[in-house]
Amino acid sequence: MSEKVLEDQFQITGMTCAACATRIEKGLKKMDGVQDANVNLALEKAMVKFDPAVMNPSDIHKKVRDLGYDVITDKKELVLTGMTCAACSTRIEKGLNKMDGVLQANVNLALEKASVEFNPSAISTKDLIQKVESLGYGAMVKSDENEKEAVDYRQKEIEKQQGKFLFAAILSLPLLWAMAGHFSFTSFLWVPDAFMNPWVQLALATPVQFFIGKQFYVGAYKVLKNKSANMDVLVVLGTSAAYFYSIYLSIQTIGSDAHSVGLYFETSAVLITLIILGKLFEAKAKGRSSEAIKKLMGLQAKTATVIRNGEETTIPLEDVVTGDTLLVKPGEKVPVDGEVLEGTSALDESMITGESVPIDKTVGDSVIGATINKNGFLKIKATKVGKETALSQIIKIVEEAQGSKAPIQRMADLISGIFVPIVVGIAVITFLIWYFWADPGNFASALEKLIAVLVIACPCALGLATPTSIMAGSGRAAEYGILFKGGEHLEMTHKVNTVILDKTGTITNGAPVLTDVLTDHDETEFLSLVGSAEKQSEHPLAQAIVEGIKEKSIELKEVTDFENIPGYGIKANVDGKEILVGTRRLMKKYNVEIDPVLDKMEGLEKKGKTAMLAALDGNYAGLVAVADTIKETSTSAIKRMKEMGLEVIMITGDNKQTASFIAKQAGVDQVIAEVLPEGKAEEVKKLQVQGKKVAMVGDGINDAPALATADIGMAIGTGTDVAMEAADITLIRGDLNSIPDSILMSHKTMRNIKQNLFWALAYNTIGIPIAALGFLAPWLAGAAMAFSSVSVVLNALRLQKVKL
Amino acid sequence: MKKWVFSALAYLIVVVGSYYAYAAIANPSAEDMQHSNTELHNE
Repeated sequence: MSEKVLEDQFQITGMTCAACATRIEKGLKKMDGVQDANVNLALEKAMVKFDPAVMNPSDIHKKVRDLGYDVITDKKELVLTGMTCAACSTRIEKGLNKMDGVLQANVNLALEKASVEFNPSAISTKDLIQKVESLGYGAMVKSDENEKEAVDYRQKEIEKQQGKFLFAAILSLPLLWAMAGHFSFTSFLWVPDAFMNPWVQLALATPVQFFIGKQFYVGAYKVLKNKSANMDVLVVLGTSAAYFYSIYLSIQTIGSDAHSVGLYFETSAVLITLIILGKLFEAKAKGRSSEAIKKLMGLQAKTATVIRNGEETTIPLEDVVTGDTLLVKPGEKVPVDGEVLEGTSALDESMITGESVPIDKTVGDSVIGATINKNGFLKIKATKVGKETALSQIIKIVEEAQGSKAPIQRMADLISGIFVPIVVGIAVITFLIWYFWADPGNFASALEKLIAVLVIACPCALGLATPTSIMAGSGRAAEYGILFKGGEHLEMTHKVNTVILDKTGTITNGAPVLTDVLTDHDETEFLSLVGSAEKQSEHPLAQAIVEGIKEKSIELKEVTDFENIPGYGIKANVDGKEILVGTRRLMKKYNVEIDPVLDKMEGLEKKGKTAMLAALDGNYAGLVAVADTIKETSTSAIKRMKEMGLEVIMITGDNKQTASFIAKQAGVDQVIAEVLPEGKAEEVKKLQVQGKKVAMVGDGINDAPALATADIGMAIGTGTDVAMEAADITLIRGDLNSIPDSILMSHKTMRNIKQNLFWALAYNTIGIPIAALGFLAPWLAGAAMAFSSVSVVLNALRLQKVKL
Repeated sequence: MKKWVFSALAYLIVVVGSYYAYAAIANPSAEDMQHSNTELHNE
């Protein structure tokens, strides 16, 4: 054990008695690296002394969780400034992760954000910001205000870089012209005398080198001070070598008649110009990749018409509070999530759910903010405002996913972190080989190779390869109503080969509807009597019957003497007739003869339907059946999944007969029936043991254990419920087609990431030997390097056009 | 953006102008100088 021992405090939740405290204390003390642990039940705190060389606070956090308790952590997003390449983001990430109290830190170069989970008892946000600043970068806690500041800052920065590029280009052009005139095949080219003069060249190259190139020197100084290296170091080394060597040669011309003696001023100036151009393209493309969030934010209404004290006033959206009564006119956007108080209308929910057909809304129905009221006037009560609305939750999930890391990125991070020192080493070896062996004594030639190697090797493209694809892929998926909760899920989904579908609410609509009516009486009259009686009941099946009857535009009548008989059914008096609606037992209780219809009833039950018998004045009158129906799109979606080679399984708590009937209808071949909610997770595990990568699709509440156990948990939801928290992917549309869509999106994103990584690595692995062998002029190396970053970002942006 | 372009052009004019002014004053025959002494850049 090392001599350095850290003492950290952890805020623990979930302890109920002294035994809990003792259990945690014992558990922690048993850990390798823990010297002492003291848990205080009253304060709900654990003081742990541990050896940081053996373990870190996240191990303690994990242990407490494994023991069945939780540690209170805080999660903050920092907006970062000053990063130039993947080495910068890796450095900040490493720096933050090394901090005492930080459980996990993720830095996203493309979004210029850091997501940090930390122990608030040990450190504060201020400490995190100070750490980033000490590493030579800027940081501020993400909020709506400084998010805007950061956007403004980026916009200004782009404009500044544009100006710098033009400045550098104007001064580099004469140098490039002079260089072009030196080649034998361009000897016809007239070059103004001034441009050939070494001192004029020096005067033109100097502002580019130190004024425009200052950002690279500052960046390189900051990282070198922290004993690290990034692309700035490579740029500074390459261009400075060319610049200072040219000054040396220029001094040699004093007293000589020669105008220029193979100077490299154009190399340094053109390199800096091209690198700035590359960064400019990159910044612009990066801005485009966060379009998904901008689109989502743009969906929000700006104002709301509120009725306060009986008066209608238009107020900014931010001023709407829960409980406000809002008026939504035809063509307007619903400002916040709410419940209809008055009116009926059809709402276009396509922007949230992807459902293209407008949904009818009437009193009591819930409405989602940002959806469009197509025709009628609606008066709604605001139920969720601000960050609680469905749209805000969706934006939060997409932002988090875009800011998260896919496991595949670890490889890129690892390479970026060690890349610069290795490249400097290769460049020096190249120089030595050329100077002492390949072209002995030719310093200029050896230097040119060194510069080319330094410049071609910048790992910018490598750092951008994964995050830009994740941003574009998850953003595009969100437009289709598929919310990936993180890069890791976006990566995992394409490996799925088995899909388990929950029956109720997933394959089926999840709400019973009236399916069959069997009667010898006049059907309208019969349904009117049954509906009138059932209207008094609170039972969900009764409500389904009433809804079905109402849809047939059948009028309901006055009811007297209503009696609810729990477990049996109901008894009521309608139009002077005594009516019974309920089970076989109810009929038996009232001595109603039902034997002739029992076969029909059983037939319906075999089809998964619930049949209810009705009797009028003591005589059997007919039956009504309700059932959960299969969603219109389920069959085609399941067929699509099977065509993709996926194994589709239905899981349900229903009996085998009913389950098989529904499965057959939906086209599912494998059924796991009579499974309790807690048993679903076991079934998932069984399939995983067989080596299958399982995606569990459920409504997210009773399926939660199975969703968590599966390799990928997909929750079918409207984006307003708990499901969004529980699953890895939320499918906002109820449509099962979102499952193959999400797998397809994952495939496309992963393919895009692999293409990006391939190109980024190819640039470096092919470019370095070419440059070292002397086949690449330094300015060409600079152009290739700038192009590599731009090509990676542009390739990622292709994902924004993907059609599912 | 314009200020960057103007600054660069102004600087370029000053540098090139200074060169020609210096060449005219210090060495009136500079324009007749042979370029044969100029070494070729690494091709």
